[in-house]
Amino acid sequence: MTTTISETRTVRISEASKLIVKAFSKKRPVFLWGPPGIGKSELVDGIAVSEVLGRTLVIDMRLALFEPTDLRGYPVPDVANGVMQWLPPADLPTQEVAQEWDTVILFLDELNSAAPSVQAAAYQLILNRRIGQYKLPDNVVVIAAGNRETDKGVAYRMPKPLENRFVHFELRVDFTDWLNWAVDNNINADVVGYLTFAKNDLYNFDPQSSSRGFATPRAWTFASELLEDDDLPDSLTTDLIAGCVGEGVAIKFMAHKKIAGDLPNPTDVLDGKVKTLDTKEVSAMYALATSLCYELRERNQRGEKAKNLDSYHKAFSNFIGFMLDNFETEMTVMASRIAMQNYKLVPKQDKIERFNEYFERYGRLVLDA
Amino acid sequence: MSTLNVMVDSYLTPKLKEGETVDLSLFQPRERTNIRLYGLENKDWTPADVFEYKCKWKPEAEVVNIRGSLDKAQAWCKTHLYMQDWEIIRHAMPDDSHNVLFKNGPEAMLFRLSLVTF
Repeated sequence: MTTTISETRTVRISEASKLIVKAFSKKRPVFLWGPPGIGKSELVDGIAVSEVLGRTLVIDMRLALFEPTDLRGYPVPDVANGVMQWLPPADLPTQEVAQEWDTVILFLDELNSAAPSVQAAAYQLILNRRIGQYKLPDNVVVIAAGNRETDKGVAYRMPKPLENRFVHFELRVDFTDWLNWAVDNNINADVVGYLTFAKNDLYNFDPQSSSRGFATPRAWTFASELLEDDDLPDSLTTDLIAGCVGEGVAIKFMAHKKIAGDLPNPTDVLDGKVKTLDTKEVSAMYALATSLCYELRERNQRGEKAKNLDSYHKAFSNFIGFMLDNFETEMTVMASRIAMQNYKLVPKQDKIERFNEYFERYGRLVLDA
Repeated sequence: MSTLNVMVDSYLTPKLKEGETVDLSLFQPRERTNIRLYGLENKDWTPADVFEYKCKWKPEAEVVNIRGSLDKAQAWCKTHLYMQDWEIIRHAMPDDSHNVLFKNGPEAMLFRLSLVTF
């Protein structure tokens, strides 16, 4: 067996969260490296929300805004004892605050954007968990993040002694991770559909390029938010999207959106009113598959509220039937995975009219994949 | 999904077939447990019956290999299947991954779609 040794070993975001939790279990500080917009900050928020470390508070502290002396605290004379006391910054968690949470993550975002002298002042805080008279409570873990020097961000070379105090992970963009995140966060179905078809357009950041807009997961999130109302003419929408992800990608996306606009309403498909799909444009079909999953999840939530899942089961049956009649294999498997894996919607076999056909056609393929 | 829904959908609730109804108060505690775990038809089963039943289908079982996620796999099977229709062999492979055995192929497919990234 051979082991490849690379200068920079990268990890996917989904893998990184496991590694971070492992490092935290030994109270080791972690540094996340990565280009802009790939979701470093969201990763930290995601760990907190998932409660894998119990109830978690994230304190986002930007050392770039600090002077070296700020970290130690503000000097206050203690006249009675004839000494100088230091008031630590309010951003640092006190014992009282820490006690209210299982874990407190002290997130030093853009740490390497801070002046080298501030980074040096952070040595003691990061490794010894104390600075001056202030001591980090036991349940506080430290994580830092920053852009690489090659990313043309504001970044100073990190002093080697500080580097050596961290466990380093360099993140990379991975489409599957993003897709899972996107469908969990209701990212616009056209965006998900387009990117499923054109995966390379999820991330095209080139530090050498002079273009201001470039595609990153963060930029696509902006685009998705701006597309929500859909109240602008196409030409202005193109400008809007170009402002987020760059002109080239925006033009391709708008061409996709135009075709996707003629797709049937997902509600009609799940109600069984529409059974055939006229377009065979792959990106548009991906968008429809995503919309169907969104709609199916809503039906499930409505059914659970009303304590009657008949309508949801009927919709699931129509969903499977529509996919069998109109979708290619890859798309059917993707849509099934979104419904079952992301939304935990598992069909009841006896309620799905064409379940046997579904299993015969895709069962072996799924089981052998 | 709310905690309440998880409890209602969990293996503590009898998994009934279409059209079946059951009033658990009419049964002995052991039968109630069996109805929940093995279904109404098998309310009189003993552990030996379950063992024999599993031995019959295991040679033809559909096997899904999983790495980690053992708790999730177990919870999924308990929630969606009768206890006699699946089994987990822990650390079955040299890389410490686990094998989940299913009596029925369709259930193995749904399990894979629900839990395994491929």
